[in-house]
Amino acid sequence: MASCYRDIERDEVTARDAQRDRRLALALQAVSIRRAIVGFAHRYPDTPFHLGGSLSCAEIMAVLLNDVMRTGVGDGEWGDRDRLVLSKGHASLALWPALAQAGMLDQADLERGMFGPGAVIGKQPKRDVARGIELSGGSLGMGLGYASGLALAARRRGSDARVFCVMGDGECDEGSVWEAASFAGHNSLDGLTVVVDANGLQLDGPTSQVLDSGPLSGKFAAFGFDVRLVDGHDVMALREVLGQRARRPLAIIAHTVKGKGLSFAENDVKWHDRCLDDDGYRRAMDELDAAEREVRADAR
Amino acid sequence: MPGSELRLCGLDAKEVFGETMASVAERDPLLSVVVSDYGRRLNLERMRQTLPEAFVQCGIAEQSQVEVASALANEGFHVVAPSYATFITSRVLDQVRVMLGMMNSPVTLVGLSAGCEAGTLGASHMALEDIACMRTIPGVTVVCPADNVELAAVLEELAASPRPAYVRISQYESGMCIHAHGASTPIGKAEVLREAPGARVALLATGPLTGEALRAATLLAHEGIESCVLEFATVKPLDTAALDGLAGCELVATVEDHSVQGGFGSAVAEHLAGQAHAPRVLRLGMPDEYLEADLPMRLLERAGLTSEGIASSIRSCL
Repeated sequence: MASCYRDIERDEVTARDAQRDRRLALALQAVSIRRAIVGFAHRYPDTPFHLGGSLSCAEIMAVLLNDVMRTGVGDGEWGDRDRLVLSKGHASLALWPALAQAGMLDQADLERGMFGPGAVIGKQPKRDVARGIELSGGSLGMGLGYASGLALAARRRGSDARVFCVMGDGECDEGSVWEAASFAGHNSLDGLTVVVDANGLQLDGPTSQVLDSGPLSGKFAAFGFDVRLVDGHDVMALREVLGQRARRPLAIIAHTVKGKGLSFAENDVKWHDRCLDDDGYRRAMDELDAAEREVRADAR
Repeated sequence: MPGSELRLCGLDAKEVFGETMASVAERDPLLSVVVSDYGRRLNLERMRQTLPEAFVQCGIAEQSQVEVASALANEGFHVVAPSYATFITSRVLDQVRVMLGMMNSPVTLVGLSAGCEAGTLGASHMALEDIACMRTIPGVTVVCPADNVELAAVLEELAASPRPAYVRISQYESGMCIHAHGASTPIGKAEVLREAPGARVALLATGPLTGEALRAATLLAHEGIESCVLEFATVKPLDTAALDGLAGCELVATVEDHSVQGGFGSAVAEHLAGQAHAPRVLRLGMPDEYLEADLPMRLLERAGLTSEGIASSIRSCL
């Protein structure tokens, strides 16, 4: 008996270590996504980028592409891969490094730059399925309907592929979001998961003042979704809710901070889209270095 | 006149749509018909019995309809999405831009009761700007069949070889049959319906008014004015080679049940404007305004789109 208890204890310790390692890896990947976001803005200092809404979804992207999703790269049937639909295309700066982490974009794709005919990446995603980009973004409110169609296609093929749709809370102003939610709920599209990056701000100000959408959780529930609320910067909490597949479509309301990681940009509507000067870049990189040290210290 | 063509042309175009979907469903398990609460009148029962999973209902939600249809198409299904012509075009134009245009999703959108077919419902239901909207989207094929034989052939061709497309259905007279011996002209090609070597006038028509254009040519011939008649079922890509063949004509008259702004006539004029010695272009179509509700034939008459009206407009140009 004594040895049996020791085994259970050892298993618990091993599991705890694995959890800690996983948390560290994902948190570091999120920091790395933020560095890349800031790096893009620094590379084109005269172009305003949607920094706020890209920084708010770094953990969501890191967890989806590095942990939860079966991306089809290196494992499994390509047709049965999970699909990611970035409905808030404005957050593409977070998508590029996450796709690179998952092995779906390579260095050459990133180096080709963001503009002109040869570009693979950009300020808005352009459909490129081989690289994991399912939707051409830019026009808000179209992702959930498209993701619903992808989920329906998977069901018709008898595939268990999941479809993840990342939207903004400001984006939920668009009526087409609710046409799609209605369709997904009515058809019980269990393969569909929508993640709302609820950072509480949009171009003109706080979402509660621009067009108060009320509690999004209640709305999605009314449309037939299972709803979970989560801290959108807690990688392990995200991992847990994103890993679930319900019998109905799943809506995850991820509470986030717009501009997360850059103290001068957090919760400041001016950083919805803005140019980043040299001084801002240095401050940002210093703060992200500090964030990395903190993540590593937490893991010890 | 062969029986099957005659029978088709005696039907409502919406019935022909359903019949065609049923026959496609029998050999194509990838067919999908995505509707927005306009399925019941489309004679889809046989298609649904053959391939139940092919039928997708979106409710009165055309934005979602185009998004769902495009996703299915990009996943390899052969997708047809019908709705009232005005709602599946101008109402969802941004979805069309992104999904069919930028993403090149191979969906066939089908506009029902186009032109002034729904004239009694008033301006909200008349689709007089749909060709203009759709032909400005890069990569979208725009087809306006003249009769039910051609409609069936076009739907079959698109199901077999999907691409981003808009098929415009309007019908004013039962039994109108231009293609009594079958419709074999592929999408993208104009069809010569009346040859008249050395004619002063070329009548170019798209959609169901092709019949009126043919009758107008006969009326003009009685007065000694010879005209050839070409049907351009495909408005985009426009058969420019056929247009270039008309260089010797004095007058090219276009006929359509669409606004004179931005439709088939505009497409023809845009091409001919770039030619050094192009014939003069007379665009006949619906006026650039929202019309009061009325019976379709009265609306067409008032717009001068009967055979007599067309002949008279041409006469006064010569």
